[in-house]
Amino acid sequence: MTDVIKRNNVRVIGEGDQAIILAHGFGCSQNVWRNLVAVYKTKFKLILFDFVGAGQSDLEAYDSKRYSSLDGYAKDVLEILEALNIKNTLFIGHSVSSMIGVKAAIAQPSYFKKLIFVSPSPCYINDEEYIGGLDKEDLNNLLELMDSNYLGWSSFLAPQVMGNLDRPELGEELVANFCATDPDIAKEFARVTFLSDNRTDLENLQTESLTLQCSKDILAPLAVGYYIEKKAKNNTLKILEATGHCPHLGAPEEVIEAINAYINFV
Amino acid sequence: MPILISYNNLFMEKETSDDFIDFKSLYNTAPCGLLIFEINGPIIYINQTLLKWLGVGEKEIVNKNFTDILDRAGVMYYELFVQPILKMHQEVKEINLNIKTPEGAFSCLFNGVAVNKQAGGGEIINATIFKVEDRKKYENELLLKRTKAEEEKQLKSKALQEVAFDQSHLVRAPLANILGLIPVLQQMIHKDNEVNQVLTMLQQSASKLDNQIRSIVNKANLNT
Repeated sequence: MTDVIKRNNVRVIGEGDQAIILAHGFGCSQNVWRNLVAVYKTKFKLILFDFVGAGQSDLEAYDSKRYSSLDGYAKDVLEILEALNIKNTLFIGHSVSSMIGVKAAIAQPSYFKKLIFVSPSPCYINDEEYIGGLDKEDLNNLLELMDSNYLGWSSFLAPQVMGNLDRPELGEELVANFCATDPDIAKEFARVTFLSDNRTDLENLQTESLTLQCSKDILAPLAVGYYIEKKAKNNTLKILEATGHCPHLGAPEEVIEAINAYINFV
Repeated sequence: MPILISYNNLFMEKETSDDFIDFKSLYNTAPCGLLIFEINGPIIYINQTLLKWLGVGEKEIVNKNFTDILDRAGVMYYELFVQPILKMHQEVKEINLNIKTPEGAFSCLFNGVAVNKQAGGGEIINATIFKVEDRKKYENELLLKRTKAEEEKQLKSKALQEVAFDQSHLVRAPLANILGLIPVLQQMIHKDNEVNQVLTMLQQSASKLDNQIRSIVNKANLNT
């Protein structure tokens, strides 16, 4: 059987009966949650993990076919909760992970109590009337930029980093500068993230949810927040003063305050 | 005028003689862009070199965000990768971004360090912008070559796979027949017959050929 805990570098911390699982977004690892972890670990059981290809996950477990759609990533979330035997959890997902949470909650509603989306988007690419914020050309330019930034690393350094047990700082430095461990996986994840269209999933979601929408985010414009509010049953939209795509890093206090209000936590 | 001075002296000299080493001039005419901005907010300082590259005046840029000078892909990359890293590790190095100008855009390497602001609030970022137009061309060339090399490698490995397949099926099949027929022939011919000796030699050669083919197939499979 797959060792899910090792595969996704799962860490369970904190004191409390209610569990919160935190799913990082594309381009990051579980480290992005540290501001929330510091606040919630005294009252909740926190489940942190890295998606395969990110952070300290097991790269050997990467399977292009499984992870060719968000369903594969949703399966990972469910397998983690299954392995830990946790149900009725609060789910906090950033960016693409919001939709991963939606897919997981549709498949296994009993695992989830409430979903909290940080800068979500069901579809990043504009499609006729629908405003996703990006067009195909934006995506190609982003992939090109990713390529050029992985130039000094990818092909010859990556295998060394993986095998370089006597020089772990080499790996750490690269992970620090890229937040991911494998550029090829990062590129595939980028494609899956930005080309996925999960708008129909929103309509099938039964679990109640909160959207934390930044007031200026190139990757998820305001229209996307309103779209989710309209399409998902029992979705609450909270527009933050924070700008950018990572309010949990840029304005953690505002994010924590909004989450506290939603889950009635004082 | 002293030529060699210590670092400390340099600052002392600065206080007494304005025209000795002009830090303001160094800041403004440095051959790279220098800027300071709030991590979640506006640009605070920007040097003349960068203003010249951007083709704007200081008043037009101060109070704009750093992401306002990037192209769209750059903003996405910054939001997805650079800002999280600055937040988590306080430093990013050699990030390739594209900066918008009235004439189009130029490629740059961005380095930044996060410094804590004294009176509360978020971090401020001290950053350098190196124009990398020529190097970028070279890098693009390298990337192109790498992509081409990867494609060629795939083609070659596909060809090798085909060779391995042909060897193991098309060539070894008739050879297996030959190897099977030799003992039949040996049984049909009397033991002392000279033909039998020839048959033994034929069998040895056929076995050698069989081993050779196996080793070729193995090598081809190893290299695909």
